[in-house]
Amino acid sequence: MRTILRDLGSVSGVRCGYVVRNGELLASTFTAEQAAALAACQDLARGVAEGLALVDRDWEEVLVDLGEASLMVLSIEEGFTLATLAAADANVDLLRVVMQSSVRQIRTMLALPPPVPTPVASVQPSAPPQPAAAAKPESVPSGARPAASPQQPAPTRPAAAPQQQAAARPAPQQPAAARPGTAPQQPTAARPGAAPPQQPAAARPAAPTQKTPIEQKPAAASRPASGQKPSSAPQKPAVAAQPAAAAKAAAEKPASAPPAQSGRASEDASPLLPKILELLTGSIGPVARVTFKRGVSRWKESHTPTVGNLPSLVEILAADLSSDEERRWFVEEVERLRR
Amino acid sequence: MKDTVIEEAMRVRGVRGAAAVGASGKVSASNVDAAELNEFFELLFRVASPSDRYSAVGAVKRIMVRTDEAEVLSLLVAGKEALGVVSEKWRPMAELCADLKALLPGV
Repeated sequence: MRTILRDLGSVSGVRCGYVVRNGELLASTFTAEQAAALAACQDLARGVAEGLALVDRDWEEVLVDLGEASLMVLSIEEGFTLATLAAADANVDLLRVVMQSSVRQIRTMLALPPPVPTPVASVQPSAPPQPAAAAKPESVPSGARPAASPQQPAPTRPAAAPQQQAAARPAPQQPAAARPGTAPQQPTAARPGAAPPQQPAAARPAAPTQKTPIEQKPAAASRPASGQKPSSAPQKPAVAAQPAAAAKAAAEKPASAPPAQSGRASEDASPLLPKILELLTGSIGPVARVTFKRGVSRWKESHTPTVGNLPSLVEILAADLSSDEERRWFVEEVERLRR
Repeated sequence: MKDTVIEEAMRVRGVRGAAAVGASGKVSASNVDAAELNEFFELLFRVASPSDRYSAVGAVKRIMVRTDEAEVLSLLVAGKEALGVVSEKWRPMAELCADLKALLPGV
């Protein structure tokens, strides 16, 4: 838990953080000199939470502007919260994404049951839902990631128009993203829903000679102004229709995946790490650097960093992905790297 | 706080309702139908007051709560009064706050 808090401290502007469960302070990075600040933060968060309980509202996030600092509190589950105290000029959107990732890690670590998804829990489009293509359909699950997206330029998201599914490598002249699962015959299919600032190797056409259809569209039409990642969710029947258990099983594939070819299992995995980071960046955006670093640290604490042990790293990193589909894609792509 | 602030707040994109909380800690004007939300703003105001209560970390200027009901409940403290706002979840907090701050001189 403390490691997670320490990692959160690496986010620009974050001063310290704490985790409280049912009033008990589980972990904190507040120093002894900051005891008063910790008490104030806890007092404030508790007051707001109690008020919400009185009006019978569950909550996801509390943000308190304290003038010279801001307190962000995320609910892990009832009575269980993660909070950070950050400088007033900290990037709140980035912090939110990283904290959401930390919440997922804590949930995974403690084997807490997954939260009931809310329709737009972590989405902050800057415009009201509209019927136009740029609007986010209300049926899109909460998998869309808010802060990672605004930092990614529009043209790098070829999957915004999910109907444009074409093979990435075999047909560079049709470089729109293809979805694993919907096109199983395309082993190098690009991940749907997001294309990274640097395209993942697997998704990169060998020699793109023309822009993807999405690049040819005006940016405003291809994505919401806030940079919210357009999702292909409404049109991904093959994947979306999968039972969660099946998707989870796919996500857990690395644990049971066959080891890398015998000659590679004991090889140092370091050369592959940048590629894995690239894949992760393609999925969750620039914040991937933070989660990747944290994940690799955890991995190296418990495993020898070899190619054979990469599935364990994948398992750690996949926990930060917001949908089963993304997790499966990530697992498959890393598995390809191992081979 | 002038009642016109509530009308102006209602013109901000994504705002569903607004309530003015007076120095007494009671809602003095509101167009938020749900009584419990008006009570919640009063409670938030008490949590935020007095301004030196959290001197170790600063003074509460604003509290924004993202609930599980596709709404954001915000309280903007303006001196000894406050403006409570119920808004749609899709509106980015930073944008909403900037718009609301413009209605409250000195915030």
